[in-house]
Amino acid sequence: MSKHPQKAADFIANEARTDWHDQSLWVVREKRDKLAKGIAEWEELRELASQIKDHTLSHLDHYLEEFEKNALANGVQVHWAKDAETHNHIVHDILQKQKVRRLVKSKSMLTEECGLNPFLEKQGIEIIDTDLGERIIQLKDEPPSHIVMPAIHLKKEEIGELFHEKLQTEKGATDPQYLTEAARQHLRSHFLQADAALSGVNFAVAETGGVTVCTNEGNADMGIHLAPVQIHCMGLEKVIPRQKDLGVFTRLLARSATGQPITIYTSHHLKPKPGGEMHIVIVDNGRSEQLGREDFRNSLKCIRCGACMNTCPIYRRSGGHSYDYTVPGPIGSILTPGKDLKKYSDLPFASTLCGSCTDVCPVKIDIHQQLYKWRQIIAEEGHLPKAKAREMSMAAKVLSSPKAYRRATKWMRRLMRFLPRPLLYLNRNVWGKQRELPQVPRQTFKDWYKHEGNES
Amino acid sequence: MKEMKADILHRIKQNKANPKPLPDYAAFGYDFDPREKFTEVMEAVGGKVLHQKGKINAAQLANLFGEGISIYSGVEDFSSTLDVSSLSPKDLPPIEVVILPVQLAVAENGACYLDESVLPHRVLPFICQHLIFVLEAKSIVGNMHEALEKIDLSQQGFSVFIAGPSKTADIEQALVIGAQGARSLTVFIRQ
Amino acid sequence: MNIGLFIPCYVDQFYPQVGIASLELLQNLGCKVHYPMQQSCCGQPMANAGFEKDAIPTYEHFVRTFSSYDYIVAPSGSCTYHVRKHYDLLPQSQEVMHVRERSLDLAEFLVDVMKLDKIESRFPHKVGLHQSCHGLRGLRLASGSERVQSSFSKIRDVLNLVDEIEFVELDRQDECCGFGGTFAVNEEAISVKMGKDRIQDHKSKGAEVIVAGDMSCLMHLEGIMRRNKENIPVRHFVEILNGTQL
Repeated sequence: MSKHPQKAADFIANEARTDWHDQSLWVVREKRDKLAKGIAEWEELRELASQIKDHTLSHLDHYLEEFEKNALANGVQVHWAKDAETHNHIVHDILQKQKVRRLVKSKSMLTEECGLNPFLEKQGIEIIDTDLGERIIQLKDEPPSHIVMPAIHLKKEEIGELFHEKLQTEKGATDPQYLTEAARQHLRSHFLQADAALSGVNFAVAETGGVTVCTNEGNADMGIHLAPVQIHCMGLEKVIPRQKDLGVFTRLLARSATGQPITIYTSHHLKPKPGGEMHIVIVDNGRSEQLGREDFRNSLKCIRCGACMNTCPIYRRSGGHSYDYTVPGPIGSILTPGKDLKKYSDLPFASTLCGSCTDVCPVKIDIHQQLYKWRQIIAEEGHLPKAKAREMSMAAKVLSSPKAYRRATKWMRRLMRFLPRPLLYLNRNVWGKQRELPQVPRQTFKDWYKHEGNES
Repeated sequence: MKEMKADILHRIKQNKANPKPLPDYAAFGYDFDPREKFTEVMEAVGGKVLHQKGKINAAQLANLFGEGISIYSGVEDFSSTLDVSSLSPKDLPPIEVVILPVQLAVAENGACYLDESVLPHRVLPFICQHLIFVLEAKSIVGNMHEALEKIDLSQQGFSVFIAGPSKTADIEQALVIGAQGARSLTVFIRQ
Repeated sequence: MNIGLFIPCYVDQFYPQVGIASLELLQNLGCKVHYPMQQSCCGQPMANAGFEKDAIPTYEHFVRTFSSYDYIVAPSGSCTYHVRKHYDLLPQSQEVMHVRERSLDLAEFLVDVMKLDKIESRFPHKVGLHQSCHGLRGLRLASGSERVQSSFSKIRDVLNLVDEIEFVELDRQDECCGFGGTFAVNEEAISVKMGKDRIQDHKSKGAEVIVAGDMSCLMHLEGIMRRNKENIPVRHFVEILNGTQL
C-alpha cells in the first residue's frame, strides 16, 4: 500500500475524530457558501480573477520587473532567489548584517516550503511563529495540516495540555478564550523583543511596488511595525498588475478561505518605516518550471485560500498530514508531482475526481482535470505498481474487443456466482473488505436484449 | 544576485504562455444602503457602531472603557493623555485606547481605510487594547472596487483596511475576539 | 431520430434492469432505439487509473460502434462525461466529434431533447437523491452547491413528473459517495468511510430509497449497506420513471 492510502487509513481508524475533523472543515465550507451566495457577481469575479492571473502569468517577467522597479524606487531592497536554499541564505544574510538574534514571523507557507525555520535555528537565530495556529504547531513541533488553519487537526484539550507545559497555563484548561489570551501575552513579549519581522505576501502589486498582507489576528502588522527590519518573502506568482485588481482578489480571498467578508487586516506595505529597512525576497523554487508545463501552469494562479481543502471529501477525512507536503489537499496534489513525481506519485490518486475543488476555486484552477492529467504522466513514467499496469493493459484488451469482453465477463460472472464465500472474499479482494460485491443476476442486459429486447 | 534574477526572468520568458488579455472592468453595483450595510457587517464581526452628532466627549469614552485610561487621539474632538511622538514604538503598550479618523469605509465588508498620514507610529492601531474609528457617513462606499477607485496606495508608505477587532479561530474553530491586536473596535459614524 | 443506447459494462453485467428500463422508457416515449450488440465500455476505468493510452482501442471501438446514430444515450452521467470530455487522445475526425457531441446522459436527453413534461408513473415514497459527481459537475446536470447560480436539477425535474414522489433534503446535498472507480480499492478506507457518511445522511432524513443517475455510486453504497445489514434499496432514476415499484 502506498503512502496516502496508508496514512488515511490510520487517520480513519479513529472514526469519531475523523467525523470531528470532517465536520469542522465542512462548517467552514458552509460559511464560504453563505458568503459567496451573498455576492450576485460571484461567478463573474471568479472569471475575472482567473483572467487577471492568466494575463499576469503570460507576462510574468514584465510584471516582476515593473514590481521590482517600483519597489526599489520606494526604498525597498529586492532580492531574487532561485530555490529554497538561496532564499534561506538571503534571509540569513539580511539578519546577519543587522545582527538580528530574534525574528518574529507571521504565517508564510513559502518559508514553510523552504524550510526556513530549521535553517535559521541552526544558525542560532530565535524564530517565533506568531499566528496562533502556527505558534501552536511550532510549540508542538509539527508541520501545519492546513494552509489557512494550520492547527485544525488539534483538539482544544491537546492545545490546553501543550500550553500548560510550554506557557504555564492552568492544568486542564481548555477554554479557547483563555488559551488565546495566554498566547496573546506570550506573543506580545516576543513582538517587543524582536529585532526583525518576516511575513509572507498575499499580493504584490506591480503598479505600486507594495505588498499586501492579509491576517485576522494582526500578528503580521505587530511584528512588522515594531521591528526595525521587515522582510517579505513571496513566490514569484504573487504579483498582480494593478491596485484595482486587489478589489477582485480581496473580495474572493477571505470569503473563499474562512467565509468572512474580508480578513480583519489588509495591509499594504510600500516603504520602509522611518529609520527602518524593508526587504522583499522573490522566490522561484520550481515555479518558473511549472509555468512551462502547459497542462499545469494555471496551478500558479492559486491565491492560497484553502477552499479546495475545506471542500475535499478526502482531505476532510484524512487530515493534512496524510499528504506529507506543506500545501496539502487538492491544490497540493497538483503542485507536488512537479516537484518530485516519484515521491508524490500517490497524491493525484487521492481523489475521486468529484470536481468540487474546481468549483470552489476562486481563481478557477481546473484542479480535478490536472489530477487526471498527472495520473497519465505518473503511469507513463512507470511510477505505478507493475501489477496495476498489467491489470490495466489486460482490461484494455478485453474492453476493446466484443469477443474478449463476452468471454471474460462470462468467467467473472461464474466465479462471482459459484465461488464459495470464503474464497470470493479473500484478503486480495480489497473491494470486499467492508463491502459486498454486487449480486450477479441470471442474465446480462446483452443476453436479455438478444432474446427479448430485440423483438419490438 | 543579478545573475540569479536574469536567470529566473529568462526561464519565465521561455516558459510563459502566449499573451492573454488583461480584462478591464468597472465597479460592480449593489442593491443595499451602504450605511445600513456597513453597520450590519461591522456588528456581525464583533465591532460596535455608534451614530454621533457633534464631538465625542470624555463621558462617552469613560462609559465605554472606564475612567483614567490612557488615550491617543488623532481627532480634534479630544486630546491625547500622553505624547506618543516622543515614545519609541516598543514603549507604546501602555496605550489603551487609540482614536483615529478613517478616510473611507466599505459597506460590503466593514473595512475601514486609513494610512500613515494619521499614524504617528504604524503599529499604533495594532498594539492598543481598544480601537476607535471616526468616520464621516458620506465616506462609506459600497464595495472594494469603489474603495480602490477612490484611494491611491502609492501615496503613503503604509496603509491598511481594518474590518473589525482582532480575532482568531485557530483553536477548534472557536471564534475568539482579541487575538493579538485590538480587543475591540468602535466606529463613530458622523453625519 | 435514431438513438444508439449505450449500456455501460457494469450495468450490462450487474444491473440489466436499468438497461431494460432505459430501453423501454425511450421506446414508450416513441423513440427509435437500437442497442448495438458489439458495444463494451467507454474506456474510463483505464483512463482514470492513469492508463489513458491503453484505452485508445476501447475509445476507437466505442466511436465505431456509435458513430452512425443521431444520439448516443446512456443511463450514466459518468460514462457520458468521459466520452464528451476525455476523448482528446483520438484524432478529432468528424465521427469522433459527432460521437462526443451527441453522447447524452439519459436525464439530459429527456429534458433537453425530448422536453419531457409528463409521464405515466407513480412512486409513493420518500426518495433520497444522490447527485453523482460526474453528471453534476462534469455535465452540469444540476446546479452544484459550490456555484452561485439559480438552482436546478435535471434528474429531479424528470422525477418530479412521477406521481406522489417525495424528496428528502440532505445535510450535504451533493457530497461525493466515495466510489471514484479504482479509488474504491486504491483508497479503500476513505472510500468506504465516504460511503458510510453518505448513507447516514440519507438514512437520518428518512429516505426509503436512494436514487441516482449512476449505478456505480449505487453499487458502492449498496455494497456497504448490505455488508452492514442496512436495507435502504437503491434505484436508478430511470427505473422509477419506467414504473418499477420498490
